[in-house]
Amino acid sequence: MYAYSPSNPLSEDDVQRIVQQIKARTNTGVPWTGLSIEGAIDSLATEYRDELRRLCVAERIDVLKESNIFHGFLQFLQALNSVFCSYSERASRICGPDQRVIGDMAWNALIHQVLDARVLEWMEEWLYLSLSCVLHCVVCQPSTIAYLNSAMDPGVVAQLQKAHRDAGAAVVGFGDLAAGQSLVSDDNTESDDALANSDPAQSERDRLFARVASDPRQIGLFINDFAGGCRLLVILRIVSYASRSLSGAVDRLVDANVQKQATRWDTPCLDQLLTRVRLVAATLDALLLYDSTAAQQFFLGHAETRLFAKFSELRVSELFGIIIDYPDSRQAIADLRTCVVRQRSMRQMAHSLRNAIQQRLLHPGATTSDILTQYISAIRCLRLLDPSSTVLEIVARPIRSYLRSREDTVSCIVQDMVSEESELFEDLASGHGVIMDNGAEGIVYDEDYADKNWEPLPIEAKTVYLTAQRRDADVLSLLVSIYETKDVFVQEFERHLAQRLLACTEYGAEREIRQVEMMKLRFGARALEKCEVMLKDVAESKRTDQHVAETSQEKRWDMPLHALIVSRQFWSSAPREQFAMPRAMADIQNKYAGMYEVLKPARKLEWRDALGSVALQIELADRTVSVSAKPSQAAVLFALQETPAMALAELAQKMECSEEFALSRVRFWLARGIVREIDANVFEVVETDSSGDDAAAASMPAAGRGGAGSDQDDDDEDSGAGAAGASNARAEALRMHFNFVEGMLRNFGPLPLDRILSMLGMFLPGENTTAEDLRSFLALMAREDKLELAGGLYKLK
Amino acid sequence: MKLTITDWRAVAGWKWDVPDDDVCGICRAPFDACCPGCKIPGDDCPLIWGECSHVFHMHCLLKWLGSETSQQQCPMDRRPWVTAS
Repeated sequence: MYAYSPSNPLSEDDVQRIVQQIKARTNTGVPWTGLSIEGAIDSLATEYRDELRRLCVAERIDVLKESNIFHGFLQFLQALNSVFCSYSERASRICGPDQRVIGDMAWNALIHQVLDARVLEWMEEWLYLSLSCVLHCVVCQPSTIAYLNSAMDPGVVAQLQKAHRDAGAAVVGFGDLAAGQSLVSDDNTESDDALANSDPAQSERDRLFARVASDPRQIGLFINDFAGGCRLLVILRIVSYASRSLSGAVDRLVDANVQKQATRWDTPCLDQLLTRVRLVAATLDALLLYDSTAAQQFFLGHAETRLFAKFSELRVSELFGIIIDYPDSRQAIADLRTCVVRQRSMRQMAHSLRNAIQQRLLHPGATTSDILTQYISAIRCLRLLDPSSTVLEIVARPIRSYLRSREDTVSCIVQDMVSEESELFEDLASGHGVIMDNGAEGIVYDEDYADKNWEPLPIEAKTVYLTAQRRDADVLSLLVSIYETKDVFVQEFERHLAQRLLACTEYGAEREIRQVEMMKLRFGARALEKCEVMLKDVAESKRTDQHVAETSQEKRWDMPLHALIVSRQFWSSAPREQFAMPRAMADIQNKYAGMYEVLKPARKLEWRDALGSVALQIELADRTVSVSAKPSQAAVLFALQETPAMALAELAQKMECSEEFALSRVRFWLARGIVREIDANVFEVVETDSSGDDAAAASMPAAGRGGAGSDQDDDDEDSGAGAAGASNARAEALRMHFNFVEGMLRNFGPLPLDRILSMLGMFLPGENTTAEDLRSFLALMAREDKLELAGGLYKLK
Repeated sequence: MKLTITDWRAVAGWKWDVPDDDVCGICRAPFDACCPGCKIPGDDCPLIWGECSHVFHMHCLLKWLGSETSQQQCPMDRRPWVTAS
């Protein structure tokens, strides 16, 4: 179709002359200066190139016009082909082996000149897009494979398939419709990806692919064009020149497909990726390399290598997240395992994960329980990835030493161990493997000598292992072995148990008994003897309490007290509180102790007044309130019962305690509106809620209303309106700290709420003022014209 | 104001009626703990008072009295052991 008329033809005489020269030089061994031959080749090549340029201009082929990339490149190849036609026409006209040499050299020179960086890039782009489109079509339309097959030389296909079979490769995609079916499976997610992509060029490309894939006729045409282009690449002898950009295109395809699998950890990706990439690479092998027998699996091998490298790179970089997502990410772990085994990259993976963990996990911002959770997930994931636990050993070492440096590690582990929904609890409940008391070395398991899947330890293991047994230990044992001794865990468990037993009110300890039994299985009965005594104390206390209840019924005594009587040497000592019990309360205690002493001769009771709780019914002039308080708090109220209004010093004297101690107990009642401060450090019981301090009542109309509301239905005023009243009462309780606030604002100028709150916390440790209370208190002060709120800052008037 | 205690959950520690922090003269363990052979203190491991006013874990003393060297004497003052009634 392209008429060829050389503008400056090389005459046949010229060619003859060059050939003569080549012959002469070859025969005589004269050094090859090559000037005239090179000149001849050059002029031939220039001639070809001019011709090509002419054709390109005539066809208006824009070398790098992206939108026309399929067609444009094809046209370019066709133009190149018509030049090639004239070359072969002449070659056949001269018809002699020597002339062919010159012609070939000239052609190669042309290709060398034409295939500059831009054209190579163009070619890579063309091939990449074409392959992507092929893949897209195959995914959407399995029948594409039939087109592909028909586009390929059947002989070549058979030859390739034989070669693949010989190489023991898995079934290669093309010609295999079953594989096509498996490719179709996640068509939806594919198009979702396309929609989600915001890159305009990318989305245009996707639209183009979609258009092609939607119509079987279009697919046929496209495959035809693509196969034609590939054939031209072969005919024009470009393949070996451009092998780098060809494999570059394959690389890009692989990379793009691998990248699509990022963060898709819940589905198995590797097999699908492999099928796809194999399909494309095999197609390319069949289309491009059918004239050379040696490199028939060039692209296939290349693509697989690339795929495994890239995929494992991706998953290894994601491993931290995969571990977080475990067990949802099980599939990703299976994929990664395949890759890592193939790549033999265990060590790199371990070190990359270790770095990620050090950067992302082992810093002060992460809570200990987060670190533990991640460590536990890592143990489970890495056990799947590497049954020999070598990777785990490498990764765990920094985590373990970091956990050792945290103070609350032990308590976190113990908390986790005994909370019934946790995984550790399952380990504990499974009760297998007793932890001996010599740290990591001491976990004893029976080796399963009959295990058929036994594998020798990997080479890395030598430098890493402390003991071979460690790899079989379960998660709990691994956590316990963070520390040199298990005693810390037993002690922490004792603390935890004591706390729970002291908190439970009805002498019921079924759960705790179960926990202790399980701990015994794990840590050995000897270690938990203290806990046994504690449980026994609870049971004994229950019996004693029943006896006391019966005795007091006989004597017609009212006995609200129910005591937990502990064995002093076996319970961790509680903080002591120094104060005198009011007579009403002491009487009850003495009665109880008296009955106890009758029951258990030669024994005495010592009350631990810092513990326990007292439920009080407070009958005031206008309302009845039920409050549960600590014994010391109740003592304050009993003191105020005798003297309804008294100064702090007097109260402290009466309670035989320090003023601070008394004040913090008074605050408890201030906050509940039972007590109020009538003068500096003088307190009084609030007998009637809304009367009394007129200024406060007037400045708090809301409180007044709330109080009045709750007065009318005084039987059940515990919640609801009572809560609103309580909040105001708490604000009122803050009044005594107004000096602090005033000083703060004078020294620092206007301050926002949270600054005031944090500074109050600094001045008054132990005072748990909430932001809500402080806000209502400051609002109250603003209403009393002491403060003013402007732009979120409080300032003095 | 009228206060009524409706319910009081208290905690107490029991101790033997002996001077504080005293230990058994035989096993040197606190009286409130148990003798080396026992695990649970209290009823299961009681104390025994002699007329000589010395106190021991009962198990400790019985073991002592069972040994030949004891000659049925109080280990503290070597007077014949008589259990206080």
